[in-house]
Parts: sequence; C-alpha cells; structure tokens
Amino acid sequence: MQNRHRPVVTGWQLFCLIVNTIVGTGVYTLARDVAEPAGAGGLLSMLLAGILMVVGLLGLHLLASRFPRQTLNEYIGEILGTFLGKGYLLVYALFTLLIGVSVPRAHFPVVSAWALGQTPQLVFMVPLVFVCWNVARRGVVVTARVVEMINYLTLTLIILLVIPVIPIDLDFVRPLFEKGVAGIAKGILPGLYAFAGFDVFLIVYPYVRTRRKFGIGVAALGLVTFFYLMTTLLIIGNLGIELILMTTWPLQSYLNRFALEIFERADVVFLIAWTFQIINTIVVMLYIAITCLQGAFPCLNASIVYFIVLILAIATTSYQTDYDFETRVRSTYSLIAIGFFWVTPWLLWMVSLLRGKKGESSSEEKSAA
Amino acid sequence: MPTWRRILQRVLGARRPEVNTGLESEHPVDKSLDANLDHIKQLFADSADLVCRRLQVGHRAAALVYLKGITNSQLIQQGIAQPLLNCQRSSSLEDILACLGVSDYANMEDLHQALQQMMDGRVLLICQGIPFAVAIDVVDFPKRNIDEAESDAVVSGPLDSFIESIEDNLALIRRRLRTPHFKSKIMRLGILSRTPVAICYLVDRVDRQLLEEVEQRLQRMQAREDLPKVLDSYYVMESISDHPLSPFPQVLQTERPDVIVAHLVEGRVSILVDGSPVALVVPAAFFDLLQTADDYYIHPLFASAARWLRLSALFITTSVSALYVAVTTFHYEVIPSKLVNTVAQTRGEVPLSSFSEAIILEITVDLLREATIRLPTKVGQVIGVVGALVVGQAAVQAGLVGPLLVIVVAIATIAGFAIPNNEQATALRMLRFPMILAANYLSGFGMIIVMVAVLTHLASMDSLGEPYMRPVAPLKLRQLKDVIIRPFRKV
Amino acid sequence: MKRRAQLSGLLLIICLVLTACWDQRPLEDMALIAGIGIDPYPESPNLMNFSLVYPLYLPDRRQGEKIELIAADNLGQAITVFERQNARQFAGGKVRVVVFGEDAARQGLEGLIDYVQVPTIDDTALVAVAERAYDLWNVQLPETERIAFQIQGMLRNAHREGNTLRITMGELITEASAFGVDAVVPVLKVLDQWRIQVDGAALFRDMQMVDTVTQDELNLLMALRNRIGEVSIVANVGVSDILCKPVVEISLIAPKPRIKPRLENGQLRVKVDFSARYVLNSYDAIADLTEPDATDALTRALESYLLIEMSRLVTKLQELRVDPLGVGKTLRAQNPKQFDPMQYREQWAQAQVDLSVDLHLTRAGTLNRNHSQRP
Repeated sequence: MQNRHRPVVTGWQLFCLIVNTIVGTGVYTLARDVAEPAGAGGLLSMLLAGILMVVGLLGLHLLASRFPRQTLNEYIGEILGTFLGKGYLLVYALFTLLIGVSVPRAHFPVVSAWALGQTPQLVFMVPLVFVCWNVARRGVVVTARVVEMINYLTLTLIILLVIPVIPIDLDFVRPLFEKGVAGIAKGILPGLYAFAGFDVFLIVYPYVRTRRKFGIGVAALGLVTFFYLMTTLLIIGNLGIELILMTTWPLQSYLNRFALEIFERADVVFLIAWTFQIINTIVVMLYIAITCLQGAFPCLNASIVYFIVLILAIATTSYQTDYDFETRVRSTYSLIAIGFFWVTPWLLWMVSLLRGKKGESSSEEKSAA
Repeated sequence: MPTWRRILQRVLGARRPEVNTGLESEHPVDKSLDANLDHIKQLFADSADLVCRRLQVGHRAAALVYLKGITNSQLIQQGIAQPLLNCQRSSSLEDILACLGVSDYANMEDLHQALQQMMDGRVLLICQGIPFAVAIDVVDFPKRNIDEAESDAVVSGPLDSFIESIEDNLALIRRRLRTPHFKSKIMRLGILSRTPVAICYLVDRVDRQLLEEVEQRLQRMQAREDLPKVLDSYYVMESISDHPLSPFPQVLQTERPDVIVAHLVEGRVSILVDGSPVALVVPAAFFDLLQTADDYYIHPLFASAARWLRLSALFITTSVSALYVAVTTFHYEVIPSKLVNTVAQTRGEVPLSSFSEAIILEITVDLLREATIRLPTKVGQVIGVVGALVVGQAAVQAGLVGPLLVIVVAIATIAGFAIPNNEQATALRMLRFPMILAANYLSGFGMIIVMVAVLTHLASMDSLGEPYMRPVAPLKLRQLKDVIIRPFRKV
Repeated sequence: MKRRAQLSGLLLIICLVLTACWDQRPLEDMALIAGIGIDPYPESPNLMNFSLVYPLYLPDRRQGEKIELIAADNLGQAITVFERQNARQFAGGKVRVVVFGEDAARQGLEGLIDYVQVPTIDDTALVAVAERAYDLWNVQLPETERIAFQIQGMLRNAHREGNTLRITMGELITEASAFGVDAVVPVLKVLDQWRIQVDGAALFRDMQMVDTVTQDELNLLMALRNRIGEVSIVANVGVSDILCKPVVEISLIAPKPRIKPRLENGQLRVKVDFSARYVLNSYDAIADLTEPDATDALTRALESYLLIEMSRLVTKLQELRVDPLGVGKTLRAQNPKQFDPMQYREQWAQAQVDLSVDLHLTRAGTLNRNHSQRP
C-alpha cells in the first residue's frame, strides 16, 4: 500500500536501472571505437574510462546526498536560483533526449543491415519509441519495474556474451602498449561515450530506500566495465585488430562465428534480443527527459509534457541522415553531454556547499544510522 | 472520467437497470393477524411456494408463513407446529416461544424485514394481537453433496471442494483451521439476490490495511443501487479488481478449501460467495496464479520441475507460433542447417503465407477447444487436443498447412493447458494473435515491442496495493523462492 | 488526455497502414545456397565464375541439387545476376562450404573482405581450395547425399582425425588480414567421378595463395601451429635393429610448439621448442617394444626424423615468405614497438630458426611380454 503515497525504488532496481541505461548500442561498435586510437590498448582505455566514471558517480552521489529527500527538480532551484535552475533542467532534458534518441538511431542501421533492409526508419521507430514512451510516462515505479523485468533477460545476454565460447588468440590482445600511452589516452574518449546514461543515478536517488546507494552505483559501473572489457577482449582476440578496423560492427562479426544448436546464427538472435536492451535504455532516457522537462516548465500540464516528449522523440528518431556523418556528430555531442553530466554535478555540489544549501535528511536514514 | 473511458463504457459496459425489491419501505407488524396476512398475500400474489398456515395457539390465533422448498418441512411440523398446537399458555409472546422446540429465532418489529428473513429460509410466526413477527431458523436449501473439484483437480491430496452453500463452505474451512483467530464476516450484496458474502481471514496474520481495503470495496459494492444480483463469485471479483479492464486476473479463484487455508495462513483475505463453489483470494499476483495445490502434495523436486515447466509454458504459449512466422518469413538463417531444407520444401507445398497459415490454424485450434470445453467430462479436453491433431494431419496431407506449423501450434496449445489458471491461460493465449501480427510485420523486433507493451501493462498493475509482478518486479528474494522452486518444508 | 489518446491512436494506425511487410523473405522463395565455388572465367581474365549450389525440391519429398554457373566481377554482382536468372532469391545464410579454384586463389581474395560484411552470409562456412571448384560439384553422390554437406562433413571428419585443418570463412578473413600470421587452407582433390579426397593444403600470403604443401607437410605444419589435439604422422625412420620396416605411423597427442622469436639488430632469431606425446599406430618391430631401451631408441629416431622434416618445412615457408606459424604475431605480442609489418616478411625470410623436438611415448600398443607369457 505504501506505493501509493511515495514511489519507492529498491536497491536492486537502482542497479538494474544503471546497468541497463548505460549498456545500449555502444556495444556493437565499442571494440572498433577504442581499438582505432589505442590498438589492443583499448582494453586499458576501457578500464580507465570505467574508473573515471566512478569519479563522476561520486560527484552525483555527493550532490544528491545533500538533498536526500528531494528530487533534482526540487533542489536545483535552491542551488542555482529559479531561473538558472530551470535553464539547467532544460539543458539536462535536451541532452538526455539527444542521447536517448541516438540509441535507436544507432541501432537501426544494424537492424537494417541484418534484417529489415527496406523497412523505412519511421515504421521501425514509431512503435519502438511509442512503447518506450508508454513506459516512461507512467513514472518512476513502473519504469523501474519494467527495466527490472527486462533486465533478467538482458543480464543473461550480458553474461552469455562474456563467456569465451570459441577459442581466442591471446597474441592479438597482448600488444597493449603498441600505440603508446598517448593512444590509450585517446581511447578513453570513445570509452567514456559508452558510459552515457550513468546519471540516472542522480534522478532516481531520492526514491531509493537503501543506504548503500553509492555502493550499488559502483557495483553497476563495475559490472558494465567488466562486460565492456570482456567483450572487447573476446572480439579483439577473435577478429584481430586489423579486421576490427575494417568491420562496421565488430560484435556482430564476432557473433557470426558461432552457431547455436537450435538458433544457428548467434548474431541474428543477439540482434533481436538486444532490442530489449535498447528499449530499456530509451525508456530510462525518456523518463529522465520527461522529469526534467516537467521541472523546467512546472506550469505545463503533465500530459502536455508527455506529448511534447513523444512528438520530439518520434520526429528525431525517424529523421534520416547519412550514417557516417551522423556517427561523427553523435560522438561529438555525446562527449559534450557526458562532460556535462560528469562535471556539472561536481560544480553544483560546490555551489551548494558554498551557499550552505542542504536538504533535510530523511528520518528513516537517521534512525538507520 | 476521460472521454475515451466514457466511450468505452458506452460501448463495452453492461446495461445498468434501476431495481427495487418491493421491500425497501418500512412496514411495522400490525396487531391484527388478518391485516398482516393480507399484506403478505398481496406482496406474494402468484407465488406458488408461499405457505400460510393458520393455527390456534392456546386461545390466540396465529399463522406460520414460510416458503416451501427452502425450509425443512419435517422440522416445521415437529419442532414448530406440533408444540404450538399443544401450547396451553398464550398470554404473551414469551409464553408462546417457551413452547417451541427450536432455539434459533429472532423477534422482528418490521414486517418487511421479517419477510427478508423468510426468504433466507426462515419461518415467520405471526400472532393475533402481538406486534412482532418471529423468524425461526429452519433453513434447508436444496444443495448438492460435497464433491471432487472439477477445475482444480489434483493427483494427490484432499479431494473435497466447495459447493454452492456458504455455510458448508465455511465449515470446510473451519475444519482445517481450528483456531479462534479465524474470522468470517458476512455481508449481503445485490439488491434482489441479497447474496451472503463472507470475508475470511486470520486475525493475527492478516494485513490490517488490506482487510480494510477489501471491506471498503465490498461496502462500495453493497452501496451500489444498480447491482441487482450477485450470482457467482465472479461478480465480486470483477468489482473488487483494481484493473477490471485488464484481461489478466488479479484475484485468485479456487474451489479447494485447502488452498484457501494455505492462503489465509499466508495472511491473505478470502471471499466466499453464497451460491458459488468458487472462492476468491486477494491479493493475487501474476506468479501466484501459476501455483497449484498439487505442488504441496508431491516431492519438492517434482513440484519445482513442474513450476519451471509452467514458467516456460508462459513463453511457449504466447510466442512459439509467432516465432515460427518470424523465422520462416524473415530469418531463415537461424533455422538449423539439417532442418532448413525440409522446412523450405514443406513450406513450398503450402499455398498460404506463414502468417495466414498460422492465424488459420490457431483459430481452428481455438474453435476446437471452445467446442469441446463443454463436453461432459474431461475427456472433452483430450478429444479436443486429439481432434486438433487429426485435423492438422488432414490439413497437412491436403497441403493446406505445413507439418512443422502443426507441431508448433500443438506445442503452443499444450503449453496453454499447462497453465493452471483458466483466466490467465486464456489471456496469454489471446496474446498469440498480436504477437503473430507483429512478427509478420517487424519480425522478432515486432514481437519484442508487443512483449514490452504487455510487460508495461503488467508492471503498472497493482492487486490491492501489492505489485502485480511481485516477487519478480520488485524483486523479493524470499518470496521468489516460492516461485521458482517449491521450498522443502524440512531441511 | 483526449487529444493525446486520439493522436497516439492515429499514430498507431498510420504505422500499421504504412507497414507493408517490405522485408519479408519467405523461406520457400529462397534459394538456400549450400556451397559456393569460385574459379576464373576462362575467356576473360577480369571475370570470375561463381558456381552456386542449392537444393531443388522434387515431388515426393525427394531433394535434388542445382548448380548455377555465373560469370561476374564479384560475389555481389553474381548475386544480382543469379536473382535475375532465377525464380528464387539468393540466400547465403546457410552456406556450408566455400571452395576456391586454385587459379582464383592465386589471383587473390581481396574482394572477399566485402563478402564477409554481407550480414546474411554465414561466417562458419568451411573454406577449401580445389584445382577447379566447379569440378567438385559434379562428383556423383548417392541420392540422399548433398555435395556441399558431403564436403563439409568430410572436412570435419578429417579434422577430427588429425588429417587436415578446419578453417572457416571468418578465420580465413582474420588470418588474411592480421599482421604476422598467414592462412592455410585445405586442398580438395577430385580423384575420379565418384570420389573426393583431402590432400595437402594451400599456403596464403595475405590474400593470395602462393603454393601448396603435401599432406605430410601439412601434418607437420598443423603440429607446429598448435591448433589441434591430435596429428597423425607417417615417419620414415630408416631400417635399424629395432624396426624391420622403415615406416612408422604415429599420432602426436597435444603437440606443443613453443615459439620464441627475438629481434636482434634487425636480425630475427626464432627458437622453436616442439614437444608432444605420441602413440604408435602401426609399425613392424624386431626389438621388444616393452623394453625401455628399445622405446628410447625409437623415440630418438622419431625425434631426429621430425627435426629434419620440420626444418625442411620451415625453410620452405621462409623461402615462400609466408608465416602460417604466427611467428610474427608472437613477436608483435611480445615486442609491439619493434614489430614492423612492412619489413616483417623480409625479416622472416632471413630469420635464423633453432628447432628442437622432444617426444614422449605414451602407448606402445604392445603387451608386456611377461603378461603374454602367463599360462
């Protein structure tokens, strides 16, 4: 009955939300993205990106734990003032929407190449986005539950992906420092891009009823980093750096190399099943966008905000552009967005420290302490 | 109410007539016996089962009024009529009542209220000059014997099941719960039927909030002027569900007293309805409906295996035929090499596309199922399945459908039968059609979109405050144990 | 609420109306290509002859096979031509074997990198080289067999028994593109109208076939490549006081080549320590092979035979400037800074290779004399 009064998100749901929001379409191209500048050293770049993300998470945690009972919408005004606060929320919502939209946009070319070559983008996107929006508009509890349920399947997929089913050649992976430290450093940027979406931690923080939120966040980031490391390792070990650089979607080429007993083509099966994961990511992104937009325009009716987000999402996902051009643009704005999500929480935290703003801590947490 | 809901109500909602029972107004018992009897006869004109028997109690004229058939006539003769005829003192009501051989009676000032009692199977004693009617309990409704459960059949374990009489049903529960903590509150629902409905719970285990919520919802139902009758527990089920429009049942139905007791012990609330052999348990979540009474009367290992089978049946019954359509029209690559040529060859002999083929066969199987379900015994079900296979065989030979599809549809249908709750199985079976449609348009991606839409619907539901998909979402590890395995009682 | 419901309903309807099943590829309309053969087109040096094998469905569930010969620049064009000539659509997702004609392989497989990017094509298809790929499909088989499946099964079996290596399309592409390792592809020989045989292998340099090795050389090569659990070797150790016939058939179990390359002032030095256990399969002995002295002598004879043969093979590989052993790959893994893919082939050709062979007998296949003398 308590659900009626205040939405509650469990610790496990927080974990699922973080993992499922981060892991999305990046996985198709991740191995090539990091191997291009860093060679096999891309593995180290991945690891460093994961560690950097933990620092970013700490910023989110510090900020959110100053206002443990309030949502970002509620306390942003206290920190920055009403006008700036609304501006911040608007930028936040737009960035999230941009990243959320880029997920199905990056997924569609793969789908198009493998299965639905002639289906127009619009036809694929409208039901997909609509279904995601239908989850997101129902609020944090339903979003968390749906993500959690889908998570059981995608977690299985993630676990299956990190098992080396076919032999790998470790000689391909061993030249870690071939491109030098500079190469590894360059590889961190595309590595970071793969972590987009970790800021869901900040948004759901006040709903989570557990004291180990930061620990859960770190565990989720750890799992994602491990997953990225293992898939990159398997792909490089199997395809070799040179072939990866020639392949558009190394993960699919890797999966094409083994046959399952019942479903003989692992790449096709994975591509279809991964749609669940894509949906999960879009759902959370749309939820964040809706929430922040509501904070930015509190005068608007909730259903109007939902509607605006739906129309924006459908329009932006269905618009067709050149794939290579889009990839370049996407990596640019994604990096800006991640920088934004990474840096601004630290700044906000400092501002709130300087201005001495602090929310009330919940009675439950006090008693638990 | 939003517009779409209003439209929906107009299109799909039931017609709600104005009803009155004829007994709403108050009518005090008159001192004159004749006046009372005239009023009764006027109300019950043309009622063949009404009996008005005048007799002389001492020096006072009196009458027994009752309905034949729902009262025990032997008891009336020996326990009421004979003692009254032999009664010497009749100066006051107390004197008359002292003569009676029965002890379960009530004095009524209002005649209409007394008549209501009469219709529950009581005898009214009305005496000349006394402004009271006495309702004496001699209920003897016609009822069947306690029998084996038809729908919740078990291989082992207790066989007795509920019948249509609420007293007997309560007795069946009481027999298994010998504790004063077991409570049952009776309410009357339905203006015309005035059906007794019992709310049962264990007072030390039940969640107070839940109990209040159930009572409130039943009271709301009682207050509804436009509900003339409650003929089955399904009426109650529809009215207390959080999401009555959802095809997924949110209340557990059972015919078995042992199941009810098990749920009461777990702190849930059970609702018994007179005239219905099916009792209700609230709250019931999606995965509760996948459990059967059998699970607890066999070895935990077998029961756990059966639960896994049922969980896989959920997936199979909804998606296997859609998977067939998706694979044969979009992704021939995933079919094993050894099989693909055979499938291609048999598909080549069929004039229809996979989609039409699947839809036609699914509808045929559903028709067969619907036709055989009302056959006298469970043999009907078997005949249904066999019939489907025979039809399938003929259809394959005639080149109308591919043999693989017949296997696929048969598997999906069998999996549907493995789901114990009929409502749930039907809801899941219905899902096949949108799945097949989606598979035909967007292959596996379409299927996933439909699945997510259904999951969203399930995730957004609550059953009396409890999340419908618990203990999976939100995850409750301790309760999850009872979903994926049948826990050992003693380790 | 009202407007939203209406609009979302409208969108769904539009979506359903728009969806006209563009991408349906009904199974029955596909020509499921089971084998692809690639030969040069005899009359024009620029064209390739693609022979595509796919099943035919005959009445009474019998299955036949059709071979379609198409001249085209590359596979993509061949597919287009195929679809123009046939009622059924080209379906490459079930390709079991890809066979290169020797002349085609010598011209190079560059176009195939694009081939592997076609997502519907299966990377698990096995690869082989034949003198003329087209001849392979015309070998007569029993009615129930299909040629592509037959070849696939043959290659698999030969691999399982240690007689050939198994290389898939994906592996071929990896080895052809990676620096410091070259591909080896089994060679299929048409013996007569009814029989095919796995015989030796083709050596590739990047994308181009350069030479073949014999079956015996292939077996040694497989042992040195460390990809295989068991290799059978026919060794000629010469007549001695142990054996009465010079030829011994052995199986090397779990061969372990330890390849240690080192670059010193531009000079490549490679140390190869080869060790394996072995099983005697067939021999004619004079001496009692249950005695340790006799087996030691036999082992030493085998070791020196293997050393000579392996050195000869390695020299051949160096002369051809191909590195199927993956020495360069190991060098790169150990010393990524020193490895230069441009100069590596020359370095390998000039390399000084130190081979050592170490064998252990695990099973002689004879009974102990004491055991056999029991009453």
